[in-house]
Amino acid sequence: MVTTTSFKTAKSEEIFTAAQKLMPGGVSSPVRAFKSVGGQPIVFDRVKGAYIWDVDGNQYIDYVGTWGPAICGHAHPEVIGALHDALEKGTSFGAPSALENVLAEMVIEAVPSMEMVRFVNSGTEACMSVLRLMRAFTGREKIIKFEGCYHGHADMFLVKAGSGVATLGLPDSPGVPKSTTSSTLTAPYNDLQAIKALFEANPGEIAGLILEPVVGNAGFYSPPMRVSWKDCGS
Amino acid sequence: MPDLTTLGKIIGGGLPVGAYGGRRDIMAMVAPSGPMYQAGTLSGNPLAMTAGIKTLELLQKPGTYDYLDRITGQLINGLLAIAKEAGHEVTGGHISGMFGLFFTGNSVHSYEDAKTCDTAKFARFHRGMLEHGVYLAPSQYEAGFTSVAHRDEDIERTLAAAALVLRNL
Repeated sequence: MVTTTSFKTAKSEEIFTAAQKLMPGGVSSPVRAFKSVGGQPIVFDRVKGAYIWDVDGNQYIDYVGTWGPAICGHAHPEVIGALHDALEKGTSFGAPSALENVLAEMVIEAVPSMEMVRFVNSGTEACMSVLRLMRAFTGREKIIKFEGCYHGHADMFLVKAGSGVATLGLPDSPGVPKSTTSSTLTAPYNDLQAIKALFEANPGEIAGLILEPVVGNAGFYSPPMRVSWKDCGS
Repeated sequence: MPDLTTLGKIIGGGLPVGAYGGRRDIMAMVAPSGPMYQAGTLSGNPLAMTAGIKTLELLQKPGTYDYLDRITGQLINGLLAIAKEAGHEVTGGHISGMFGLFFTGNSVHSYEDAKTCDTAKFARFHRGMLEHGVYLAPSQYEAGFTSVAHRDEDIERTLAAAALVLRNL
């Protein structure tokens, strides 16, 4: 059967009902509210390895992995152990620490396109900042993004942004001024001709294009597409 | 090779981190080495750096990505086979530990393709899997993720649940 009678989520219901009075939609990020699949969202109590336990004591095999970061398994003992040690030294410095050098070296070593790195607090922030840098370096304002690609929730990326926006059935978000998105050009993913046409129509005006190399926010799909600046004639 | 690259949450191992980086001459524009302003009180936070360092160390162990590829392939190929056998039109795939499944007969290479999927059927599938102890992303438009902690038994249990759910969808 698709539904079972033994499945109990009374505590999740109680907590989520209370949450809806406290926070918009009862959540801190929209997809968690189960709007697009319907039904009662479950409220987590703890995570470990490949598993989640909800507040009613149900155990699940987890295929969300807190949206990627649990790639080594949730609450890996070595990660938790290192965090315990770090906690003893304090939670925030607001000043340089040797740890930044270590992670920076690891990232630079692992990612061939990165010779230097700046740490921020989220992917949204990384994309906002990199767009400013693209514009600062080129002196150009327009950017190209791909339909269905999600680059966080900054105004200039909330155009055909897939993910949460697709989940809610909104092509865009109210509150995003046209003046902010007018410099955001969009093209279908995997469509090199469309990109060439945008570069031809906007000569010398495009600061760059941004893409998810593997799309994960309009469902999962990957590109046969390869793009280089030479293709764009710019 | 891209000039600039952004990285998201995974390099923070479960704490809030993102990063951007790229060519040295471009990054030299970023304050305080250059004029492009960008700052953050909690940026480079010691706890986030610690979780990120340990997570990347674990990922560098030999065989990690082969394992993720194998286990995730087993999962998605199993799901596709079971769904087709139950008479559903599905497509899907994976790269490393990231996977996706769409209820559509079309192959999916763009957002327009993705939008042809049957989201109502996905919703019923999601609910059924949840009630059988499998937590999938609560939207057709999100990817799924495995981890090195997922064992063969977990995949087998998941496929057994999927067989029950998909036959009665």
